Amino acid sequence: MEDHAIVRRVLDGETGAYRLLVERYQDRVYNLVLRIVRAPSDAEEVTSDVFFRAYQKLDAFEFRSQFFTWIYRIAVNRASDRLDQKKRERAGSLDDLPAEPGGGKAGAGDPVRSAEDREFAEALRAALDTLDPRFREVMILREQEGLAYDEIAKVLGCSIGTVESRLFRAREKLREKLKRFA
Amino acid sequence: MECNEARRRLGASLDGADPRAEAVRAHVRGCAACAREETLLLRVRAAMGRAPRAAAPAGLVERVMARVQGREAALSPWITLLPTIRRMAVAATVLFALSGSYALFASRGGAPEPPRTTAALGLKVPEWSAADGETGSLPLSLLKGRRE
Repeated sequence: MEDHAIVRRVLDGETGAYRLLVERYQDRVYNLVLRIVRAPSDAEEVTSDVFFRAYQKLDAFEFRSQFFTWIYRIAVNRASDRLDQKKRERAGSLDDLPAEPGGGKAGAGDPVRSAEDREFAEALRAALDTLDPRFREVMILREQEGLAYDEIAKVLGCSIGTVESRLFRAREKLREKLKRFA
Repeated sequence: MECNEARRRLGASLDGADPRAEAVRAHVRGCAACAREETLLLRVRAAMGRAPRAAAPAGLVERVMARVQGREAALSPWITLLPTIRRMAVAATVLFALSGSYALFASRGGAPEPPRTTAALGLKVPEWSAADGETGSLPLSLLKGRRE
């Protein structure tokens, strides 16, 4: 069943149908939130909030847009809020961040390549951490979530031109930080 | 295409979002420095794309639905009362409209009933109506605060 049809059912009073949307998007929303907040415990709580908030605001959903871009927007906003809150609380401690954004399986089977990839992944993680959140979000949405520019624009509530500009600047900054790997 | 322009367009070109992607490709094929830049961007993409995708925590759906159902349960007494509230609102609106109409009718001098009612109670009130010859407005004597 299409997302829009499910939303209509929920709005017509069939509350239980909302489960279909949560089941369909829980992994994607959780991963997006996890990449922004980075701590699994925070990601779980924020993801739950995202779906609950989306339910509360469902009557404001405009059927012109896709449900997933709409809920991604809520997710990015909630995750960014949580990240800001954590930064204020812990003054930027990175203690509970995952080891590396590239995962631990890079270059498996080739020890030299594996070591290089791990070093690159670690440098990339550090570089991403230094990015302005606006630039990091756009990189996550493009490189990890694989969204097209127009989808990113809808998620972030900005123009496609702004997406292009932020991506360009994010990549420029990453290039500076990672130039020793070029 | 110069190196500066090629590098400026490199990211969008890799995203398939640059109208001059072909020219960028042609430049990169013949320029080692720009080719290194492209390799770096591709490496960033590969590293970020390799990040493992975790499954959402077990029980997340149930927790969300419990909150959703809890909200509905909290709202349900109001939802049950909604038809009654709506009927009362309609009745209040009708009542208000009727009293407004009566007041307007009375102010235009077309309401002989109130004096009769008050007379039945043994009260003496001034007769002001069409008999005063001032139909369509309050009698001057009332406006001046004088009793007739």
